[in-house]
Amino acid sequence: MTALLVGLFGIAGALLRFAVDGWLAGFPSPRRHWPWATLLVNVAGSFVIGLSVGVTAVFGPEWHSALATGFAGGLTTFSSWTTATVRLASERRYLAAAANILANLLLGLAAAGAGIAVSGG
Amino acid sequence: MRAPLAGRAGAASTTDSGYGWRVWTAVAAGGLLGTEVRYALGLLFPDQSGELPWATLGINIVGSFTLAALTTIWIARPQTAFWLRAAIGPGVLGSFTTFSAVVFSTDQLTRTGLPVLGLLYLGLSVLLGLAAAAAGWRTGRVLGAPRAFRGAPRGAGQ
Repeated sequence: MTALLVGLFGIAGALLRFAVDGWLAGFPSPRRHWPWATLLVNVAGSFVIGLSVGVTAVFGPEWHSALATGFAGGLTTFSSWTTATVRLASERRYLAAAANILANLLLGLAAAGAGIAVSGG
Repeated sequence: MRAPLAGRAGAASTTDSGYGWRVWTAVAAGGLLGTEVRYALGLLFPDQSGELPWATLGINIVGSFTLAALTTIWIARPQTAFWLRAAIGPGVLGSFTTFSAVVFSTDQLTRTGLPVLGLLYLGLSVLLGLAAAAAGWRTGRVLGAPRAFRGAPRGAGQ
């Protein structure tokens, strides 16, 4: 049961991440590429995993797994983040690479903390 | 990029964001696989209190290496079908690796009086993840290079 919920919520997270990526790629921009979509989904997913703290008491542990491991896990991505950073460094855009690391970490930690605070955890 | 919608036939094969149903299905299938494997590894190697979340760390290192390697391979071979790249990249690997669990565990370790362990976990995740991606990037460049470049007898020097 839990494995099924985790899988379905994981699919939803993955599709939303892919949609955000395609949506942001659709904006014409004179600037060079920077991984905004990954930052957006990582911050949003960090907020969701923070929120999930309060879910167990209300809905039960299987829904916590669905939200934290399934949806937040599927929505956020670590591999795209590291690969995009390496790509920026390979283009000698070191400042953009460092900004990518710091923005995800700082905003992600802040979002997780905010989610925990909202859920009362 | 966006295919013009010519009547029902066009609408049936193209979505609003310009990807065909095949691509969305591929991402969903990959997302299911990546999520379930991560979930299963979490059950097999559960986090122990007072220890680093080893399963997530390993998942993120392996995923970073693989995605970076595939990225440079696909740069060299752009003819690879888009739905296949979407299934493996954003699908399997995007869902297999996780960012939210890293920041959440860092937060929890810090809250439970283990801030040094929390920082160590965050630092290891970032450094080893980036090192794995850098190694994968170079590995993919070598693997994706034309055969001649790798010393095959025909076409050398092209």
